[in-house]
Amino acid sequence: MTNKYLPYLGLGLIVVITLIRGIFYIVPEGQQALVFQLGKIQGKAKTEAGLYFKLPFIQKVEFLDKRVINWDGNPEEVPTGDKMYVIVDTTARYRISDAIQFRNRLKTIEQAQSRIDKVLDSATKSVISTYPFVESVRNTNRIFDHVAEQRRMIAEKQKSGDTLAFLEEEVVGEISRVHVGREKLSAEIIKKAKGQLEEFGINLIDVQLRRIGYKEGVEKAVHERMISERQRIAERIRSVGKGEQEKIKGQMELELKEIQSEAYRKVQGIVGDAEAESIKIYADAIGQNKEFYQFIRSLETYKKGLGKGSSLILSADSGLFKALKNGLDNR
Amino acid sequence: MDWNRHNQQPQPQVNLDQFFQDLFNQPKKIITWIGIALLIWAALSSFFLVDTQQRAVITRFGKYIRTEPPGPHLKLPFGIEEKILVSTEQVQQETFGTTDPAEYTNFRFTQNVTDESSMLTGDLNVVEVKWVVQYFINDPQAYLFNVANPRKNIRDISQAVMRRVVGDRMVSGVMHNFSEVQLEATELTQAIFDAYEMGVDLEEIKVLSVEPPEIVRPAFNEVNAAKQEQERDINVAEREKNSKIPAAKGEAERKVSEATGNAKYILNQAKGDAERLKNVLAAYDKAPEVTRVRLYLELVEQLMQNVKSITVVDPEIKGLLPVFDSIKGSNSGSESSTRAQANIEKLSKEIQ
Repeated sequence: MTNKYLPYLGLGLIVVITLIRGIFYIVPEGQQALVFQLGKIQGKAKTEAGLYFKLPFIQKVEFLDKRVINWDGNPEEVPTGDKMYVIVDTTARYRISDAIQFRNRLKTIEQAQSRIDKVLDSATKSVISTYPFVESVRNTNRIFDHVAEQRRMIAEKQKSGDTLAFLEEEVVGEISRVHVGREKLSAEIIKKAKGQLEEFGINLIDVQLRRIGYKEGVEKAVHERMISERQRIAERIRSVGKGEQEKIKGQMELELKEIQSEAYRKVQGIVGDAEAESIKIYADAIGQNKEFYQFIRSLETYKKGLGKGSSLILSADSGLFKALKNGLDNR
Repeated sequence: MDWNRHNQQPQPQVNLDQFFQDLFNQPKKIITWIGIALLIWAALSSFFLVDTQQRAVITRFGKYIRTEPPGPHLKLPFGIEEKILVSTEQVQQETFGTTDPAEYTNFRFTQNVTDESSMLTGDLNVVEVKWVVQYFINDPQAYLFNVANPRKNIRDISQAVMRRVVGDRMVSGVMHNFSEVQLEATELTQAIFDAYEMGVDLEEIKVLSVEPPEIVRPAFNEVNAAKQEQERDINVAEREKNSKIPAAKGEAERKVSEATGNAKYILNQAKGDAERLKNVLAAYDKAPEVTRVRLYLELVEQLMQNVKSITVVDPEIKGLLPVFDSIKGSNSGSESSTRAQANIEKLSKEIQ
């Protein structure tokens, strides 16, 4: 109306707004609220989202997360059941299931973190140190099945003539079967820690071994083992190759000999047969008149043997001399 | 009016005071102005646009009411209803074991890249694995309100799962069989996401690489080199075999053909000779003595031409006295014939 009332109006507005703001509050989705009156918690935790009312000024609201919260541990050095020092890094997920309990026992989030740290660390350590190293690495004994399967396949291959197939990687002796496995180990950690954390209004949902690794000093030894294992495999592959090479060579030489000796046999047979037959033909021809053959034959000998400029020595009773004489006489 | 005002010195406060004075003197004006202000505020706080890649989650007084699809929408004004935009159509990616240039480093938390990638295999070997996880937010309400830090959750779970999958296999199984590893990891991870009702749909887990630690790599390469050497050795032997065997077979066939040829030749020669013999024999049979003489004479003729000297020896002579006089053939005339006679007689006398 007039300037006079302006300041009062303004003040009144401010008071009204403050009052309104002090009377109701909103709990967002995913959050839960606790109402504090003079430092003490009033009533139950408000876990449903929505609009709520409270007394202004004397009642204050604090919010806590209703959702699944992540916990991240620091990597810890833990000895396993078989005296191996490993680095374990776990993560967990939890909910604040009882907000009042949580707030009463753990005043701040930092306190909550450190409490969870302690409980989970000790649970992890105690479980890991109970079992041999393998149990925290492997979940199943599948690798043994895998190796058995490989062996079977290789046996089949070898039966069907593929002699190259051999098992490259055996499961080294020091690796044993697991009886519990990684997942069950995690479950045990949860079981151990869950009860302790429930007192603090924390519902521990899940713990995962995010990382299991070798301690730095141990890693060197592991690398050396890996190197020598690979070298052993390489050596074996090479020698199998050499062996196969020799085998093929042997086969080749055997076959070559077979081919050559077979050829020789055939050749001898053919020529032999031919010679035998020609002898038969000659014999047949000669057989009809041996004497005549001899005569002809001796003529042939003279003809062939006496080329130009040769000297001839004759016996006086030889047929040739007689013929010579006859020939000379007749001229 | 305005011109007058303009000439004077500017006095905004005076104007404002005047303005409010005017206002308060007229209650209707106040109400009008307040009404206009409220309308503007209402419009601004109730109208909103949702991108095609997004969805809007609407809460009323904090409580979830509905999810709005892409397009223009209205909500209750004055902050009664609030909107949260969530990108559902865009694939999200988390990278492990290596740095994704597009990624914020503050999400790495306590780990460094080597720690993330280095893991144990079932046969207690160490490998370094690099992989990515791709997912979509398929349920914005769940994504926002079920898990406090979804990205951290996804990262922690992905790492735990990959280690579990790798830890159950042998080093060669992991290095040579990405698809099996990816398959199991995807199954396990999706199951966990579902159990937490994270509202996240796994699109794909892709293993980028699996490598042994650097120090060990040469030894692994040696295995590959050995495999190649093995193959080479075998190939060389096979090639030799494949060239020598056919050559030998060819050679063998050639020899057999040659022999067959020779055999034919021998036979034909024999047959030829036999045939010729038969013919001569036939002639001989008809007139043996005549044929005999004729043949001798033929021979003698030939001898006369070729032979340089003829020596005749009495068969009763024990020793041999060579008399080297040449008796020319009948072609050279009677002189030589006489001389031949003389020689023969001389010899006969000496013997007696």
